[in-house]
Amino acid sequence: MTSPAKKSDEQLLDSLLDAELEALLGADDKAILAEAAEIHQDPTAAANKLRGILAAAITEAGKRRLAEARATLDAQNGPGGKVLAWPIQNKRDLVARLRQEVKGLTMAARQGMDETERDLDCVIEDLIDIGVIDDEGNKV
Amino acid sequence: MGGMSEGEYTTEELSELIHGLGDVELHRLELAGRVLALKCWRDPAELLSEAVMRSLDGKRRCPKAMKVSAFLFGVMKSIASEWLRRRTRERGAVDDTCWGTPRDVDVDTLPDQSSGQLDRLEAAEQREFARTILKEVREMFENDEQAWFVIEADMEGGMSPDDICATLEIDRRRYDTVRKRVRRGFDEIRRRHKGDRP
Repeated sequence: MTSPAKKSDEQLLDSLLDAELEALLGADDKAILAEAAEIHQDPTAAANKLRGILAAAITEAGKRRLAEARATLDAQNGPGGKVLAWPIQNKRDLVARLRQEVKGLTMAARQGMDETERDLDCVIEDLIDIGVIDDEGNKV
Repeated sequence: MGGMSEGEYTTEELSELIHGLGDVELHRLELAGRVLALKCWRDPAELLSEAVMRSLDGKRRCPKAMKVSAFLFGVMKSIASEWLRRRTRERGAVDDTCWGTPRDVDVDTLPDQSSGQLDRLEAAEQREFARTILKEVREMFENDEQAWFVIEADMEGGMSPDDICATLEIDRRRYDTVRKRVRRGFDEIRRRHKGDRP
C-alpha cells in the first residue's frame, strides 16, 4: 500500500470517518444488533432511550418551526401587525371609540361612508406611530 | 429555501419516518453518532438529536431515493464539522495565546485581521486537532496488523471491503469484527478527551 501522505491530516481523518460511516450503512441488521449488544447491556432499553431522544427532538423541531412561522408573520405584518390583523369590524370599532375618547384627536373620516380596510389600517398605523395605541390596540 | 420537489419527503413525511424508525436503524444511527463524535468531542446522542431537529427545519430535504438513516448520517456529519469549526474559533477567543502572543508578531510581516486571516488560524487549529486524533489512532492500532491495514486503506481510499478481505485473507465476518474493534477504539479515544476542547 502506498503512503497516504498526499492528503492533509484533516482529509485523512475525514476519509477514515467516512469509511466507517459507509461500513455502518452497509452492515446487515444482524451485525448492527450484535454490536449494539456489545455496547449496551440491554439493547432494547437502549433503543427505547434513543427513541425518546428522537421524539424529544421531533417535538423541539415542531416548536422551532412554529416560532419561526410566528416570527415571519410578525415581520411581514410589521409594526402594528397584531392590531392590523384584526377583523375589519373590530378595527372600525376601535377607530370609532378612539375618535370619541381621545380629546384633541382629529382624524379624517369619510363623511357618511364606511371607511375601507385600507383607510382604517392607515389610521391605525398613524395612531401607533404617534403613540396613542400600542400594536395590540391598547391605549397607551 | 428551495421549493419542494416530488422526489423529496415533506417535513411531515420525514418526521413520521424518523418517528417510526426501528431498533436496528436507531442503533445504526447511534453507532454513526459515536464515529462522528470523534470529530468534535461531543456526546453522540446530542449529535443525533441536533441532526433530527435540523433535518426537520424545512431547510434540508431528504430525497425519497435515500434511506432516512443515510440522510441523518449526512446531517450529523455536517453538524460535527460545524461544531468543530465553532469550537476552534471559540478556543481562539477564550485562549488569547493559542493563536500567538505579541512576542510572536513579526512587524515586518504583520498579519492583517481580515476574515481570511481568522479563517487561516481556524484552519490551523483544525489541522492540529486532526493531527492529534490521528496520532492517537496510530498509537492505538499500529501493532494490530489487521486493524491498521483497514485504517490505512480507509484513509487512502479506493479499496472495497472485498479488496481488503482478499488482501488480508479474512472472511467478511472477520472483517466486520476488525471494524468493530476500530470503532471501539474511537470510543476510547473520545472518552479520554471528554470535557476537553478540540
